[in-house]
Amino acid sequence: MSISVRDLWWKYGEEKDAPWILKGVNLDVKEGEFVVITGPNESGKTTLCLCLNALIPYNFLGGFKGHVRVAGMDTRDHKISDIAPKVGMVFQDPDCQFITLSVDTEVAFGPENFGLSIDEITERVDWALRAVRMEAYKYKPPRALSGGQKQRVAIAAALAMRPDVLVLDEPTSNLDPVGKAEVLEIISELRKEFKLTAIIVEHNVEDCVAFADRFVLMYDGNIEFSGPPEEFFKHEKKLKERWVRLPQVTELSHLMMKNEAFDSKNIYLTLNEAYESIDQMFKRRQKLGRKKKGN
Amino acid sequence: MNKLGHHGGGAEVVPGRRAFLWYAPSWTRFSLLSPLTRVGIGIFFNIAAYLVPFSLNIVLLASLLILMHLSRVKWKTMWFIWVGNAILLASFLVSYGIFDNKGIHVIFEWWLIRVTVENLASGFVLWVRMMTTIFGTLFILTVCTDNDLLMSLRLLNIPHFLSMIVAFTFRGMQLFFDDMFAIVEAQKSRGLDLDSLSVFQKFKWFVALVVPLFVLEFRKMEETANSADSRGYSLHGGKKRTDYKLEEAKLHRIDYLILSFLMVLLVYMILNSFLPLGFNLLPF
Repeated sequence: MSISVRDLWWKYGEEKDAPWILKGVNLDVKEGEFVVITGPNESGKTTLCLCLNALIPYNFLGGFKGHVRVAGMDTRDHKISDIAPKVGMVFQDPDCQFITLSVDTEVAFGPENFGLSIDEITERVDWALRAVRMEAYKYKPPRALSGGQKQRVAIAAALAMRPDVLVLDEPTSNLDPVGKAEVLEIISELRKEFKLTAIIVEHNVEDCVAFADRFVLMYDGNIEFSGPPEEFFKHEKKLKERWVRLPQVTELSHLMMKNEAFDSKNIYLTLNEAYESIDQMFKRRQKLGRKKKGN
Repeated sequence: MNKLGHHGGGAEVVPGRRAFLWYAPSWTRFSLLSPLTRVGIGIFFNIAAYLVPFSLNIVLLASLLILMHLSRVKWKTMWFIWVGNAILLASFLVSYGIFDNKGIHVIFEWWLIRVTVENLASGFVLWVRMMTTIFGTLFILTVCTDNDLLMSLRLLNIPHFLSMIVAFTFRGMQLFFDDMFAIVEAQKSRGLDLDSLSVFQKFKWFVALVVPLFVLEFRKMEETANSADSRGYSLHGGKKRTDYKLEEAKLHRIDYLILSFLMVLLVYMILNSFLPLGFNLLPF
């Protein structure tokens, strides 16, 4: 098991009456799995991500109960610097993540901390920048980059550490549609090539449907339910109550299921699936229509 | 058409980068030197300005201006420096006129202001020293990027966390100004007309902005610190860090020569200033 979260409770601040942000979260993520965590604001998604690389409880004051095990290490028994080689994290705000004053030093920052050789660091920097298509910006300062470019550099900086687990908190929020698709594709490719476990917090689930193995719905500090996309998006009413916007083709498939005229029982997750299914439907009806005419 | 695809004009297009408040060339002749040498040259002038007699100070200032010219800085883009210089000179002269009444050869006298030849000379001498210091600093900012300044600290084997503090400060300043300009633009788009406000009202408006801006920046810096920690940065020892860029910034023979020469010169100037008379090795 790559990540195991057992009965995790967390609250910010040590006061007795401080509200619990995470309330007994249980989550298992297998090695190589691509998990998307979604849910409305203030449901604890970012807080859960901070628990996965030991920033909580070491960098934040608060109350912590339960266990988080990442790549065999319990975050309560290991320092952040021990867990960092195993878990790469990309935060929401790309500006805040830029520590150094140029792209190449930023991407090299993680490997430098591990004491790798300069040749190894150079190789990783070049590889990571190629992976996110930012090689042309290698020597640029952060001031010269757009928000989306900064986010890509942040992803490269996490990738350069060659972690086992990559945790991304809304990584595509500042990217254009092409950029979003590229980043998710890159993560998916890396997952296949390096057996990378990816956990992404995302509001716009439509972009992730083609890549995700599992979706998790968080609400009010706990996980309500999770499952593969075809199971997850069956819970249309629940998802809408929790302000999760379904992919448009999935909404279409729900509408079609409700309408007897369509005789549809399938959930569509992608445009191609919907097109093929509807195409089959029309062909069947055409056949039926010809048969009736013949009779 | 020249290499960059520009037609005519005849003026050379020099790729630039944003320095502190102006644009500096991306590459200068001094880029061949190590960052530590470039910083060392600027610091030498800053210190020497207060150690040498006035005649040498003029020479130092002239040398600095020549070095700045060699670094291909566009003097037109630094107009605010010239305006600042003029204001500084005037303020020195007026201050000396008001507070220093020891001069004998009076040129002009009115109320508290008593301008004498001696006042003017003292004010001018101090102004030349200040100019040498200012241009020494400008030289560093022109020929060194933010990264170069950090590299020069690392070459001095200063503990890494101190150079991280400097890096965070630079980043923090960039974020501060970016956020400030964003807020100003947002307020302007909501109808704020800064141009119509008096100086005092503008000042009041900016002061009201500073506190929430600082709170925002501190929060951002906390997130930046979390980002550093999540990439394995350990303040309290841990594994030995590799310095990825240090190899490029290492000192070569020319750097050692220049730095040695400057250090010998500085030591001589210090000894000449503070030891009793009779030590003078040279007639100036």
